[in-house]
Amino acid sequence: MKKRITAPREVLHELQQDYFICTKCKICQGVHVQYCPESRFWRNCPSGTRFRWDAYYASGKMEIARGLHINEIEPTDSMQHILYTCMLCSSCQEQCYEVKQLHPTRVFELMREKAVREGWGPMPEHAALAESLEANDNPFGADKKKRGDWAKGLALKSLPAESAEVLFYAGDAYTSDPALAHAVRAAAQVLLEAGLDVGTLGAAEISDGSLMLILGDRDFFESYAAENIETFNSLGVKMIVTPDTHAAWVFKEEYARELDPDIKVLHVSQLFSRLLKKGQLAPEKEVPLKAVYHDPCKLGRRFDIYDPPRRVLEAILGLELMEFPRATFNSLCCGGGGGVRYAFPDYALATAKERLFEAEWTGAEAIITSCPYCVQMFNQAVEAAGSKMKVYDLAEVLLASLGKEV
Amino acid sequence: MWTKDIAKDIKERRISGIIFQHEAEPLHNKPEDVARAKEMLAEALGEAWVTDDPVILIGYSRDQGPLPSQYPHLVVMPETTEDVAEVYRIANECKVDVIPMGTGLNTMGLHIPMYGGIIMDLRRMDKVLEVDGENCYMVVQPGVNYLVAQVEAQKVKCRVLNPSTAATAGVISNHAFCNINTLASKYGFGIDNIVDMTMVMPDGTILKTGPAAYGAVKAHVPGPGPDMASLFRYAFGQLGTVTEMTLRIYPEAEHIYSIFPAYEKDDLECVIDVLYKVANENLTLELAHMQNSFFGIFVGENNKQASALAGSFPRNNLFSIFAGTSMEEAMLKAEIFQKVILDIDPEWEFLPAEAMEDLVGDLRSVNLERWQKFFNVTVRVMRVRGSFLIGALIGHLDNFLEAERKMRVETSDQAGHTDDNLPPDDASTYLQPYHMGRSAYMEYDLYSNQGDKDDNMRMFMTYMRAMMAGILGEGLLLACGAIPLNKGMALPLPEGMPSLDDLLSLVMPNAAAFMDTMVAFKMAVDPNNIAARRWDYETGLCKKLSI
Repeated sequence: MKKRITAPREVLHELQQDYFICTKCKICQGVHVQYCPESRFWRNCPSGTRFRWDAYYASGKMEIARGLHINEIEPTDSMQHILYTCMLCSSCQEQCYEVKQLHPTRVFELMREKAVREGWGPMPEHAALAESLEANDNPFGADKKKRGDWAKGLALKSLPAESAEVLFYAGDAYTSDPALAHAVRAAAQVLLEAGLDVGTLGAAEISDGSLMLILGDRDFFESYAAENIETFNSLGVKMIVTPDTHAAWVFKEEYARELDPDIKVLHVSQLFSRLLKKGQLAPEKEVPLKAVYHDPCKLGRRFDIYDPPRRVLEAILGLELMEFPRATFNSLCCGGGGGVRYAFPDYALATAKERLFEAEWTGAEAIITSCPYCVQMFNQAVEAAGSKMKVYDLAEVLLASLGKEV
Repeated sequence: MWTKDIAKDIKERRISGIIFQHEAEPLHNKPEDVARAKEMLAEALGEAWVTDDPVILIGYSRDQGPLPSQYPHLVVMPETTEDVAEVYRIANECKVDVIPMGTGLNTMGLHIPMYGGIIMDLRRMDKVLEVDGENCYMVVQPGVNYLVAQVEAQKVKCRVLNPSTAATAGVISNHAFCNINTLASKYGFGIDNIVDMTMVMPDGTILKTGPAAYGAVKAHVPGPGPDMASLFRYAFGQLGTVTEMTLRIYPEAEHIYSIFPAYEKDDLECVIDVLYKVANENLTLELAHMQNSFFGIFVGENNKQASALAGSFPRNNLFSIFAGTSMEEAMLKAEIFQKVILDIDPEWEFLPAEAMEDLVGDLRSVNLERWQKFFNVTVRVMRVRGSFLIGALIGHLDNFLEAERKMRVETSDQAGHTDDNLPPDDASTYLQPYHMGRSAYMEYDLYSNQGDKDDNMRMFMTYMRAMMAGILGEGLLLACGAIPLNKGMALPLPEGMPSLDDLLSLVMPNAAAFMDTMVAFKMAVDPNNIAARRWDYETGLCKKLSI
């Protein structure tokens, strides 16, 4: 039986007060200044900083939304460029909501949905992602039969054949990029070390659809949401945990409307922190490292998950936790947000390199983060810049501190 | 498909999309001239920095003021003083208007292209060129905002005079306009703290003022010799564009201590006595007076919270910070300050610093430890209620009482009254003592609910009435409000009705005569009237208020 899965849709014009009220105060361009010690790092809007015209900042895009609303302007290639070079990092909303209670990022998300509905979005370069999703249930071209290969050799239960309390959802990036296999195995292994009853869907796991939602294709996203929700509700699990920040985002924000209310959804960093607090994990091995923690946008600004990963890193012996000048709610996007990297790889890489520069400025030896897309972007930046900076997933560092190897 | 026709029908209901022809028979900004200017500008600045794409232009079409959107014809981004000169040279040749824009935080239409033309976005010129902590000055470009300036000044243990606006406000435009700041009773406004300027005149000539003019060593004070910088105060781009400014910075206090005096009585006379005495004795580093609704709207996250907070705050509040080479010294000054206040009226109370921390501690935009350095937010721009503000420089603090009384008559029971703690007809004042209390800046704020068009309109009409009352008050010089007068009112004025210029001549004859001189100056330096054109030389309508 067919069933509506997500809640009734929000459409752009419902946020008209936001874009009509926007007063162009321009605080959306930067960071919360009281918490930024260096003027070099005050700007925080990747697209505005790169393309300079006001239309690329949130204030300009809000004005474009207003212009579209009253048919003052019509969609053009440049409007498409402006909309799809936004990394949807929410830095603008972080600033604006605090003082003005407007929702610029939400406006841009709904502008993308409008663009897709009207046929002028996303970018042509994004077509391959949707095609791959149709063919492989994964936007990155990975073979669907091999989706569960990352877990080979781990003592994870196989759902739904077996039952488990925790569903470990690996996500699109971790299951398609061999370079990330180490990190996702580490995340699962940490949970096993804590004695949790964890299972995966293996090759039966399908995309969470988040990338399509990011690009504005809500219909396509909902088809994945519908199937996943039905699967998750039928598994009898008490918790879904994922190392994929984008999956965590849609599970918490979109799926939760129809997901069995008894199922908790957590990002691994939240669960790691809880397990440490309960004493189920005991990091005893020193990890001598001077590291900065990078807050993924979809974890930090979207869900205020700033403390859990820091609690994890603080529990690791020998690790000196440093902070970016743009930290927590001031964090700069890694360049991997908004699906930008698939259409504008140079610009995405330049943003990642800016973040890498910032990490080097602190004197850190390593960047630690807890998002596969951030890890990919930083690895690219390190290679392109010839930097000696190391890049780790949070789970990898935690597993090392437990004295275990993948 | 009939559904497709609906969308088409809706679009066709519009008479036009973007209005690119702003005048019936334009002498400036003719399509063929704009096209020629675009080509020449692209050659001069590079194609990447010149655009006429409507999707880019729309970002420059509105600000927080009440004006409807007005598109420029072109936007350009120069990088150097020479680039700016080139823009003016081409604009003169093609007769296209030029409106400079600093960092883009704007009030009341100052960079909105009323007749179209070129918006000159100066945000590529965003460097702090020099900071000298020993001689206490800083050289900045127009794209530098107060955040950047402040952080750079702090590196040499100094601070800039940052106004109570968002940290993204531009330093040059704000200093050249006025820059009302909480240190004004000690150090004056920003406008008093300009050492020299490099500017491009409307004909493309590069002019240096102050020490920069004759290659003298820069220092904390301007001079020696004559200084033309004052001529360009409050010019809003009508006399050219400042591309470099040397401004004074001040040593950061080693220790600071804050207290928050509060006075429940609605007795402004007593408040004035206190402010005058305190400013005159030079006790505080920072000093300002704010009324309750100011705080309510500053801190409250929504209208309901703002009302509740306005109700819980005393009617009158002083913002006072004391500095010393030791904490004891700063606290001693605060103690003397308290005595002075209590001598005037023992009913003054003092809110503990912790109470303020409880109130705003959860807000990321407020950091009490650095409050004195950063006003990241401004009440009138940011909160759920916007405001129509009337700013006025007061000849003497006492004059404030008369001005405020007259303005309040025009507000109370005129804009609608409710039982709310923030009724529409209640205005809030902000008073900034200046030069040890010899004069002051007054802000008279009317708050409207930004989501309510009717409320906005009601407030706008009230604002107009109160502003006129302010102009007519003795000892007042209007500091802002001219732009909505120019464009917000229906023009041309009906036949027989005195123009605003005529009105100014009647109420402020001396100022009107001075403005005649400024008008002549403007016409001399900008013969083609291309620099931020707000009036035509031929009609002269509203020219004085525009200047």
